[in-house]
Amino acid sequence: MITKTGIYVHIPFCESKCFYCNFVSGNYSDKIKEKYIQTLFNEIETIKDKRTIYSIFIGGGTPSVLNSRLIVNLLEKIRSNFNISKNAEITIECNPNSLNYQKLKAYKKAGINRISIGIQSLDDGVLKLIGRRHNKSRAIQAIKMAKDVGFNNINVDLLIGITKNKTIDGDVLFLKKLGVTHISAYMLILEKDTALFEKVKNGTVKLLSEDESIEQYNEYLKTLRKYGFKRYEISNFCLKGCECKHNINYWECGEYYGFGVSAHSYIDGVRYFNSNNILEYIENFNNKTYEKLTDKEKIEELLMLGLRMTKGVKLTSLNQLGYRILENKNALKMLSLNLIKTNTQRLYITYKNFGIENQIILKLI
Amino acid sequence: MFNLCIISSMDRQERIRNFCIIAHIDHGKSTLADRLIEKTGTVSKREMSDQLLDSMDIEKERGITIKLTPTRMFYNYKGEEYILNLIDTPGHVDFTYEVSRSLVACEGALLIVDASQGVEAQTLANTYLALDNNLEILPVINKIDLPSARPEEVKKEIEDVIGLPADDAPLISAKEGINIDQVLMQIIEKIPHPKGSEQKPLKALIFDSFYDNFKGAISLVRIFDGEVKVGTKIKMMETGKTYEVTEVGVFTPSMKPVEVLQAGDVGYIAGSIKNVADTKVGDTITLAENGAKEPLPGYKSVQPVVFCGIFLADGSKFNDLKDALEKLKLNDASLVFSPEVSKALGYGFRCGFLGLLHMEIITERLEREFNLEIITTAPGVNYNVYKTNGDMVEVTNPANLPKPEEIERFEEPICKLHIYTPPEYVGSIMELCKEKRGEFIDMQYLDKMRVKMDYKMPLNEMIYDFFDALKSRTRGYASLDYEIAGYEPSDLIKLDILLNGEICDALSLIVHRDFAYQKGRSIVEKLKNVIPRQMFTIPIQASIGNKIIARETISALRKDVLAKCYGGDITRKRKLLEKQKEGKKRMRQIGSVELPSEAFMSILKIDYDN
Repeated sequence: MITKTGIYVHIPFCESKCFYCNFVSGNYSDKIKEKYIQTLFNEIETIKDKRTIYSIFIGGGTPSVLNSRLIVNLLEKIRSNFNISKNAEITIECNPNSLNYQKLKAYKKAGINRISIGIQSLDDGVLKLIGRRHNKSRAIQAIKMAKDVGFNNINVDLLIGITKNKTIDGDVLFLKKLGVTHISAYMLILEKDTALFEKVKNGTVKLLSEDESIEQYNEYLKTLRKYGFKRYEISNFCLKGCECKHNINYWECGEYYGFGVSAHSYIDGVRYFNSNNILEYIENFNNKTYEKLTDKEKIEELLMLGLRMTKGVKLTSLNQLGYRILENKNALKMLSLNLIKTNTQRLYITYKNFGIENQIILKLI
Repeated sequence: MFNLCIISSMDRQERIRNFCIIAHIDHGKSTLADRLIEKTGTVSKREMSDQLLDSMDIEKERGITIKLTPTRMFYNYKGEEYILNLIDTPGHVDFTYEVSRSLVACEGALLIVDASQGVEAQTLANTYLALDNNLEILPVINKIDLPSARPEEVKKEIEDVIGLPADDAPLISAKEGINIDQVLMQIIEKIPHPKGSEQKPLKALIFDSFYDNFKGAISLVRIFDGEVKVGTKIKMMETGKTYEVTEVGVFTPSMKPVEVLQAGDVGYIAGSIKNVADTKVGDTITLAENGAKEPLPGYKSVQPVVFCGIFLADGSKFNDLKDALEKLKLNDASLVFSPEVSKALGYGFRCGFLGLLHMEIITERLEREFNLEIITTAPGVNYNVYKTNGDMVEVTNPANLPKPEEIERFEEPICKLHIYTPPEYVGSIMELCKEKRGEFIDMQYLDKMRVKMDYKMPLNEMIYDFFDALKSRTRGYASLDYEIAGYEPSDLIKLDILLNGEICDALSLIVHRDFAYQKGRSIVEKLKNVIPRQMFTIPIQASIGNKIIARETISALRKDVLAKCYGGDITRKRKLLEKQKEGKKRMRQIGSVELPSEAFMSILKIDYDN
């Protein structure tokens, strides 16, 4: 299997914690930030592998809260240790509040060619409810600045399932006009140990019901398609040619290096990940958890991830691991029911059945 | 023990007292037994674990005694040494016959009554059993240490309700060890000693039996006449089988071999007997040659009255289930089972039990002691089905019913209920009995506090959740006893449950025609709540023949996984997936529908309170 290798760098810093967030992130002192970046550099240096890198993703947290000089240095560090493909997709995650022209220009100069902005919503009420610090106008301004600086590949994140939204059509059209090329629209998952979970539990916040969320999701699907944002993965939509290469690599079970606290790597069939405690990571970034995947687990991941994409999972990849779709009774049944389909190369879930991907996978594994 | 005669001129049998304890659940039978054992020094304090006689875990947890463990105790009273044999008895209606055999083995009984709760149905039923067997009954009022104790009123209740003088009943607290001496004194002074003949041929009553891995089936016996020792050739009078005795002994309460068991003694007999089914409770053991002509009276072959299918949640371990049932059967002759195949649940067994409690105990032991995850189908009874061609078939599994057009009529087992309740609940009990097809027979005010209600009711209605419903509607005050009272004609029909249009055989029930709609309705509602949403819309229907009488729909799953999934989420997601897959294994696939194990249980208990 030919896979392209990607790099993920985790920047766990944020101005504040959003109410729904259970990521490793937070507001830390400058001293810790500096130490963290230094550790990150040390960790990157340990990898002597000279394979070509096709995508870099600087995520978080909020990488844009850092001084842009640190981001520039980070990319330099990566370039000095890896062979970066000329057409590599290099993404940085930003939030509207921390972006400015100076940072954006620096990113551009450093070779970053994709900006991902966590705007989450264009409704100030929603933004407040979920603990975001920015408002609608700030979000718009951020997109405009990125566009001004010359970024032609801009993603925005949208959260679905919070409160009713009567302006979905207007929102999507507006985002498109601003120059947004990619939209990650995902359903809010109420995770335990988040502020929002507590608020819902004690009744101070009321979210949409499951059925209402589905309805809203379906309206987004319809609207996004109407404006040319094609769904290529369960939660990802883009204009033609603007798919996120880095993420596709995950869904195709490609290889990747992950650097930073809690970052996961998958190299040569082994998944390993760093501690999710910043201080522990700084103290000893080599303290990693390793997990060698069995063929059975590889098959599970191929299906679990590959079927997230509308194009589906490669049949040859499954075959190589000994999984033959036509020998699976459940698969045959679902094929006959049109829940899944195959073409010459791939097995995929039919469009309207994405909502039950999990059930379909459970039947397949 | 056999050199006691040297000390004084008293006859050996005059020193023996055989007695049992009658008590309602929770009234303190096991605790008093423990105190007696402690007081007589039979077991040192160090060895005492609470409720010594209840040996199975389940018994300890539920505080009920199912299996009886007899105990021999020594006690010195007025300069003479006595042997007290305590035969513990089960405290549940399912085991009435076992209780009656234990009573026969005794000359007297302690009747424990809770000082605050008074006389309860179960106590009363067993007391009557004891009176029928001419036992000397000694009332004992327990839990006098509780603030709510009302011993004088309870004494009066014993006199009024049971008709026993209770004036000098010991007022005790088994828990606190208060007045235990008085109990021992009364046992010796009031309970008659055995009066058997050592010269006559052996007559020993089997009042219990169990299987020992080394010694084979062990009979717990009361010797009425004659004697038995190692080498004696014995005969079981019911089965006619003969054995050579390999060991005789007594319970201390652990097994202790002795040289001989003689008239009046309580102990055990082992004889390399392979199967507990050959040591039938109630049977008489005599000598193989020149034995007794007549057995002791009262033997009854025990018939299971409640039946259900037992299947494995994970269908693959059929042989494990078979082994487990066989092992349980070793110690429980009343458990019967035969293989059964269900379209929905695969291979399993149809099992017969003495009652619902017995069924619960067996299923719980299968899960706990044998680590099996089992699915039980709704419990049912044995129906007599008369066919149009004149044949009669006995049906315990609704799936085995003849076709409707071949059925001429049904007969179902009926039981007689005796309910004891404070008067204020009479109304709601009548209502409950009516819902359960009960037929009123009689009602008696025993005193101001207590009413006795007699009903006739189909056993099938009684076994579902009658006891729970009775308890909940009377806030726990009513108590219940029942006996099987033959078969009666009944207008019954088969109620099928369809999932996605297919009949699920494991969910079929035999119900009375008048209640079919109500039952069908509540079952589909229950199922709607326990079956998770799946890929498709699932209709759940109840039908009689081809007629659909109730319907619910489970709408299809829609939001399942619309969240994001990137590099850092993969391991966690895969593990979650594997866990879900594991959960799926425990689901039964019925056609295209996945049914969780709880679905089969949920229909057992239909809520009539709403």
